[in-house]
Amino acid sequence: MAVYERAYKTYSGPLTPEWSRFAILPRFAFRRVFASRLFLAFFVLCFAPPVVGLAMIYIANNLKLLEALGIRVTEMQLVDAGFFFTLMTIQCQILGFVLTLVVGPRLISTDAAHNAMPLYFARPFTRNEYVLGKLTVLVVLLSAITWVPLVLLFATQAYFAGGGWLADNLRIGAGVLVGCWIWLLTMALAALAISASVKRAATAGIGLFGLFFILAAFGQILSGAIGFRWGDMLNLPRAISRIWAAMLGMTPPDMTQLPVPAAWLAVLGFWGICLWVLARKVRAYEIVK
Amino acid sequence: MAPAAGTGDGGMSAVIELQNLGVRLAGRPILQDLTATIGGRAIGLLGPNGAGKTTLLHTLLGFFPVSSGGARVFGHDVRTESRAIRSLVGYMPENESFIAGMSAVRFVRLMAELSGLPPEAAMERAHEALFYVGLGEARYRKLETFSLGMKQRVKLAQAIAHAPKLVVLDEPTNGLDPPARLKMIRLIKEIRDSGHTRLVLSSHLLRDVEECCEEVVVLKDGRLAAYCNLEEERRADRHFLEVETRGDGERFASALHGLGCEWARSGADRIKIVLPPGRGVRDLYRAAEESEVEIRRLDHKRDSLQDIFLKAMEANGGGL
Repeated sequence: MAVYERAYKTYSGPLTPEWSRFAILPRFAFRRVFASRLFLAFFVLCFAPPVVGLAMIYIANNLKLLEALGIRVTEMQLVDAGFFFTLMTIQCQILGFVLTLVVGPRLISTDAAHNAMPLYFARPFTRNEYVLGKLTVLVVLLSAITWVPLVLLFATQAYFAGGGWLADNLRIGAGVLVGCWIWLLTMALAALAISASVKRAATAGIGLFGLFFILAAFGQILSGAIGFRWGDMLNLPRAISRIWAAMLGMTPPDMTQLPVPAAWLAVLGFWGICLWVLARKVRAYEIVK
Repeated sequence: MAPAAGTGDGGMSAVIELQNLGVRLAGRPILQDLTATIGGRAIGLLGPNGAGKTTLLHTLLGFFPVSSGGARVFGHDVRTESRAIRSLVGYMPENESFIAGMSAVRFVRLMAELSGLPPEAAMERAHEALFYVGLGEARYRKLETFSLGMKQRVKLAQAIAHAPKLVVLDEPTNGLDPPARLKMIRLIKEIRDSGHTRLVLSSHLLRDVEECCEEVVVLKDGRLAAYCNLEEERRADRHFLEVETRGDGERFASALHGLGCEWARSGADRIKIVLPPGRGVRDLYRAAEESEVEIRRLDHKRDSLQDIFLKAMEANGGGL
């Protein structure tokens, strides 16, 4: 029917599969976030450290080039667990955090701000699908700047160094992949939980910032000033660094005294709290007691 | 008048079936023992504020859990087949509902896609729906810049964009000025008359329901207070006399009985009377004279939705 024929008409065409409908939300969200040139520029900038890493891998595996550049092999940064740990810290804890801070706060708060939730859930679309759709937005964006380039770097190093290196350092590859996923799920769940709890994106942004920095500072005070070793359980970046280090089989410079199981407990507990908040807040109408 | 159940209209299948439906929210009973089978093209949900109209709609959509009894929409159980129900329904909520930062066409397209339409079809129908509700020229504007009337029409557009079998409208004329209200009522009637969809219209405004609906369910304090098939009432076109009297009411009542009138008291000194064929007002005056009753006022009336509503409210022992 042409638009000028203004009459109510029925629809008898095909429908999309129900399982695929969660993907509608990321599609709409990507179009919105990439409409901003500033965000696009930042997103491109996020690939700078992996590109530098790639150059370092190439140089480290090319003796002729090292000689040409006048660098001795002993001076060259080794492509080892420490190399990947540093890149993970940059990609996840710095760039990933900023990306989450830009994209995350708006994801649910814009829907909640003007009561759009009932419109979603009056359709054949569940709360789980809604959360999965919103989570996918952050998971895809964070994946693109974290584990995807780092795993590619690991594969490149394995290619240049030969089969023996891969067999000896398989643990690093697995650690990079799982470690990045731990961080991106933590960030994504935190952003969604805070975004679902407030109706203003700016407030959600401040909340997310505060959650990591204020909580981390409090944890630092507990563990540093008072000497309470479990205080680092509140310092999520540190707790996750502890898990990363254990996975990569190394000791990071600012190693916390927090045992690895306690770090896992902190992360899993945090995920549990985020999921609980989402279960409470993401609904068509809140029942006021 | 407090019927336990409404009746579906003969030939049509039931749209909504309620079987002793009860809903408790935060420990308080909001809906109690609702039983009705409703099957008309346009169903009105009427009741004063807080009667439970919106809670009933939300329960049918699966937003609130059923505490006791059960309910079905097009034969689907609200407890177990909520998704199937929601795939057949288009919902226009009472409150302002939109996503800021989105253009109208993008918003309606998103909602149509979430209802299962492929992207191209959703886009096409979003344009059509916005033209249909009279927002064709404003479809690329951001929703937050719309007036209240325009926002109401966008809500209607997203409710019909995916061509649902049942359109649920919760207070669709809320906050609209008279011209905007008339436009909205005209759209609702057009949708009803298209024959492609059924309507449930919840409102506390009698005029809206009377203009758009064929069946009316009146709720009060979470209970079913009355059921009325407006279409049958209109077809019957029952006129009656409302008489205000002074004197011995009992004698007058027996005189009316003798005349073969249908009658009912509508107050202490008021009687509603339907005269049988062949009888006139003169016979009524004669009967009054013989009963030594003084007729102080006599009005010709037709049973309106307002009467039905007021009776339902009085019968349940409460004012409005």
